[in-house]
Amino acid sequence: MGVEFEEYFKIFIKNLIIEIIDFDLRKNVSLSDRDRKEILRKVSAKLDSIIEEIMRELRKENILRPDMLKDETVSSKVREIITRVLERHF
Amino acid sequence: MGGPSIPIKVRKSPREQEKAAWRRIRGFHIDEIQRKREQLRKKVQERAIGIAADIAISIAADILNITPAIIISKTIIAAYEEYRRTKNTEKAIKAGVQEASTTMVSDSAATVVANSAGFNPKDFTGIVIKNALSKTFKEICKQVKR
Repeated sequence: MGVEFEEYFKIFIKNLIIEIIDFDLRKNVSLSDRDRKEILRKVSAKLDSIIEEIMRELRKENILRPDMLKDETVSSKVREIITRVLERHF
Repeated sequence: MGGPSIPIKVRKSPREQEKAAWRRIRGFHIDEIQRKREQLRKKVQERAIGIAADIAISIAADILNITPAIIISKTIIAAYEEYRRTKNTEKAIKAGVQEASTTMVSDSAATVVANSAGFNPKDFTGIVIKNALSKTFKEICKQVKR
């Protein structure tokens, strides 16, 4: 791939969170386009260190492999770690 | 007499000099107040944006918490494997979105969850996941080129 699965996973999770937020913010009609972009810029900056922390925790569990993620229990564990770290900070 | 006229400087009275000095002081303070007001407005806006960003991330965490994990992992794997096979980002994005849609449709709980989170399931796969994959591959292509 040129880029390892871990790196791909990390970039995707960050983008997924940003896209969920963007979609949610677009529903808020009272928010100007400029404010929405400002919030997303801030979100992106705040997420950098948080995503690194998520990756550290996932590495500890040794579950970041495509074959392992096919398992529902493993993918639930991954989601649990992501949300736990996010909730710890926000 | 025919010579050039020379303007005579008339010294202002002390009262007028005092008034002029006060005008300058007032002008300075008005500028200072404006500058501080602008500073305050920017600070409030920055703080408000920061708080809004925190709340937005917290909402995203809640949404992720109720989204079936298998949708996300199946999407990630499908797009990754397609990219490894074809080296084509468009095909990889399509494969990821397709996998997400199929999983979403086959999992009735996922549809209920997406709806309750305020997402139309089609929007979740067709907009949120598609955009996330597009941006991811764009970033990866940039990294590979470097």
